[in-house]
Amino acid sequence: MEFGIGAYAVLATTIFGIGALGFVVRRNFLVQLMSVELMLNAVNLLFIAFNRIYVEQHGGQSFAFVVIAVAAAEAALGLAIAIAYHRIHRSVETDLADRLRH
Amino acid sequence: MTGSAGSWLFLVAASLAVACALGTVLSRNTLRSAMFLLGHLGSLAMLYLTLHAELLAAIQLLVYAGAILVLFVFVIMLIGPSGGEPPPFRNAFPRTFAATFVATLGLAVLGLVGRTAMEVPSAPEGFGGVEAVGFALFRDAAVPFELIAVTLTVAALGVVGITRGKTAVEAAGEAKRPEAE
Amino acid sequence: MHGTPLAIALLVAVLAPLAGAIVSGLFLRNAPKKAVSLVSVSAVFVSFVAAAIAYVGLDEGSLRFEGYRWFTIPLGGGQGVPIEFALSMDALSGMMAVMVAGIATLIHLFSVGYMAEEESYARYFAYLNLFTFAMQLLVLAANLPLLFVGWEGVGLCSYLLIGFWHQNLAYEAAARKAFIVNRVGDVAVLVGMFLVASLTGTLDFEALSQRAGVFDVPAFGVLGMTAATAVSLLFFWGATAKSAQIPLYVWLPDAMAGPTPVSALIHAATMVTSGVYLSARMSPIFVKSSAALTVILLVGAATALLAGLVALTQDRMKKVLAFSTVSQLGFMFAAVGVGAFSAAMFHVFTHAFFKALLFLGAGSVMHAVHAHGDAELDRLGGLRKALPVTSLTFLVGALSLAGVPLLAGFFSKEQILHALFGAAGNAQLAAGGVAVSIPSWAATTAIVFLALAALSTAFYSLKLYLRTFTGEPRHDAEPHEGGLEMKLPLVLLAVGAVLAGYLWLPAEGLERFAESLRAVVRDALPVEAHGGALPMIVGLGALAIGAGLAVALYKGKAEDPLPAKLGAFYRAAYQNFGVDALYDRLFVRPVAAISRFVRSFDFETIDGLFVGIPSGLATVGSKAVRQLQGSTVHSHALGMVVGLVLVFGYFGYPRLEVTIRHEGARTVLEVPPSFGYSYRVDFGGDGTYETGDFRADLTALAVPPSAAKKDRVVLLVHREPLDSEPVEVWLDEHPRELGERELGADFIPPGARGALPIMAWIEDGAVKLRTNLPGDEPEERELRPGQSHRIGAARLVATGVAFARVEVKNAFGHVTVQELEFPFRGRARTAVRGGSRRIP
Repeated sequence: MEFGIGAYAVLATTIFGIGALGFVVRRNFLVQLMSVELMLNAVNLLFIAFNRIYVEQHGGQSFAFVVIAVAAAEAALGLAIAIAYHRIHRSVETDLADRLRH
Repeated sequence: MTGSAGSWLFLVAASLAVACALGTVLSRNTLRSAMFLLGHLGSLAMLYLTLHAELLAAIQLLVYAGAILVLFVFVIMLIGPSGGEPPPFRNAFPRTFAATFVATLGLAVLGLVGRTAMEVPSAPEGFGGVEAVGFALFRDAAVPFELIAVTLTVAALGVVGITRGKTAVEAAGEAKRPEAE
Repeated sequence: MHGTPLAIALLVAVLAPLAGAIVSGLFLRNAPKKAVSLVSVSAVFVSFVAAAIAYVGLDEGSLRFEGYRWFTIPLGGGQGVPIEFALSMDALSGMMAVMVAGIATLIHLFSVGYMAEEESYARYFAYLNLFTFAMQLLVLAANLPLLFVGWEGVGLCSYLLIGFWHQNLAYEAAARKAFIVNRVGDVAVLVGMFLVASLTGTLDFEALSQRAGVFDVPAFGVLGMTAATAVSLLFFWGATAKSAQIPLYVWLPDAMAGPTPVSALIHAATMVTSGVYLSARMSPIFVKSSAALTVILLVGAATALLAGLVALTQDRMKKVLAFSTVSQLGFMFAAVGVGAFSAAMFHVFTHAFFKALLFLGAGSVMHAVHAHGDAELDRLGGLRKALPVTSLTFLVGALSLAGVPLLAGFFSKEQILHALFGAAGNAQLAAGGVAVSIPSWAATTAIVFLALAALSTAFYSLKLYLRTFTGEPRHDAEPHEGGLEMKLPLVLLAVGAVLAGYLWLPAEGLERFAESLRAVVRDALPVEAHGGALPMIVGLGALAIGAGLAVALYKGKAEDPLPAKLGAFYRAAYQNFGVDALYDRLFVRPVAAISRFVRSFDFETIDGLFVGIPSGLATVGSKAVRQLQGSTVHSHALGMVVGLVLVFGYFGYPRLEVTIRHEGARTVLEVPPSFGYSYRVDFGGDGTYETGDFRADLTALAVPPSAAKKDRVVLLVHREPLDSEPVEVWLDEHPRELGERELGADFIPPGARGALPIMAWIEDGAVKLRTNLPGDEPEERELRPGQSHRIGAARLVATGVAFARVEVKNAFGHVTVQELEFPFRGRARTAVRGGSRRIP
């Protein structure tokens, strides 16, 4: 049984979908952040998989490296927001963030 | 990418990745979600290995599992266990949306399977190793690499800015306190 | 600006009160009251001195101050009526200006004491100064528009001062009533002004009296009136408002809401007489219309009688004086009505003194007993001992008003009666060669009315005095005289009320006064001498009866016996004979009803239709749109994901960018290589793919001859320089013109812009050209593919057309198709005709 790059693409799409689903349906801010991490990882996987075709370059892997760094920054900021949010609402339920609505 | 060992590794790692991703999203307990995320990141590192991206696999474990996830766990501990989140599919709308979304995604994935066979050349010596990726990063992509440093600095400043200031609620609470006394 | 130094005095007389108003109104609002008094009283006094100097220095003629050209009313035909800021003084305006400034000075002085307790002291004096400015402008204006500025100015100040205590809503309403009723008259003054301007081409008084002949036009368009009648009636209409005549007199009694010195200055001595002044000013026109004069005579006499009767019954000092003023103004207009303008002005002059005196006396009484607003006669009495100066001067004023011989009022009233008897006895009057005929029945009626009015004048004058100053006190105050600043004006006005009449005596040294006035106004005098003792007998008889009745009724009585004696008549007269109620029903309520309707139309119909419907739509629409923007984090996240999916969907299809390149005789089709893309191409559209199945390595492909499409040909136009890109002209079987766009602008000969007479179309797989160039024979030509033809600087080449169907497939198996046509041969070109579509 052989698995080509297409299989990786299918896998990445699946993980991305799961991440997007979690981001939309979950109301816990931390879980939503984790879902974002899932999506970023799916993209990373795709980058690295396609890099496997062009073996004389490392563009995809370099980009994945950048994505990991950005994900780290995003996580740090997101968690800081989570803490600040928790200080206001005593909760991390994103349903409570409706001030702009009123 | 030849040989059945790589294929089996892929199958195991892929199944694990999908399972852990689902666990992350569906788990009611935040800490458990984080643990599932850890498993997911580990299985991705395995997949990176099957793609001859050894350095990336290492970074994945170091940065993601070692730094980001620890940060997550730390914040979860700080905030305390989140109780009382209603089940994720309480309303009709997200339920409908989720069902539609999953069905569409499943169909798309099924449609992709088997149609995407692509030739994969054999990896040369040192592909995905420290030296090769290092050359790519520091020579070809030196400027973007330096910009990562700027990005991280700005993020650190942002974190300080967000967490240091008092929120309006706290300010109001402090203003009230002397009156109560 | 030019003029003699004396003419500058006119400017000073007008502008000094304005300066006072600006200073005290804008800069002294919070200053000490003494500063305000000093500024405003001295400003008016300066005006008085300047007017007096100018008047004394006045020769036989007139004094004129030329300012600047204000504006020009265009009349058409290049002509215009120039309006200048010019002041002029003659005997008429000089007398008025001196009188206005003099009385204004005294009343300012009186106000210093009377208003001492007032909080808005500076505002009061600013208004009063502003009034003096406007009145002086009205009097000294050299033309009608400038007079109208003053006319409106005094109206404004009257409004401001009636409503001076604007916290009191009734006073505010009185002020509005005065303002609105005056507007009714102002319309007529404006229309009259337009009429004068269009008829004579000038509005300057001097030029106007010279061109009065224009008004001899016997029949004028409107209602068969003469032009003089129309103009006179319009100005008289304006005067009925300003000078409180029937039917517009209703505002004056209400105007007593203002402070008493204001009533004395504006609503007795000066402003209300400006209607008489205007009539005298316009006398050259008035005397040309016997009809208008008759109307004025009857209206004046009727007003005098009506107001006199109402005055009998009023039980408040200021109300009595107000109706008395209306009545006296009626006397003046009766004099105007028989063309005795100088007599009318004489009465204006004397009336100013004794009526101002009476009002100030009333003010002094109110000041003494602390009556605010008005003093009820039932709560006065016995004030003679406490207020000796006021009492004495008031008596002088009352007797002067009643017409006691040798006092000022006697002389002027006798003159009016004289003129009326003259008119009644002689049907023929003459004014400067113009015959004036007043119907003798009208004059007789007027005499009867005025005699009765004089009787009631004598009655209410004495009633006022007796019930205020004699008998037992009916009040519980401890009255006291005001200070010197209040006593001095009373004494000076009392002197005026005694002596003003003697200025008219035909005595040595005094003659000039009346004579110079008569030189300005155009009196209509009896053709034959007439008069005798009859006018004096009537006047003295009325005085004797009225005074006798008053003394008999009121001497030593505490109660007013009049209501019991007169019964229903008293009640009717007390209510102003129901005129106010009638106007309320006739005008106020209908206008209010219309206003309410218009308001409701605006608020309900307009707002409902043009505001309500759009806002309702916006509400409904936004309710729908609001659902989209739930403003929860989830809805935003959902939006992001949906957008992401759509973007993926777009990029899920391959994009196709085909380039056609010509290399000499070879035509090459190029497609960009991309990850996962594979191409196949069908040339000529025959269904067989020249490339076989999809190929990932395809980047460029030479177009084979089989790609040529039969019966398809395109015209390439090479323009100067010939190695530049040719223009492709895709033709069909329908002939079309080749024009500037195809052949180039420099190809077009001058004068033949746009399309050229070159027609082109496709026939049997060849280009057909039909040229009909100027200077050449008409010519038809066929171009098969490869053939060319030169027209001017352009080379036209017929070229075969190739067809290609390019398909691209991406990694997902999605296919995009593009069909294109392009010239087969030629130079480097990237033309593509056709569109692409996606096939999943």
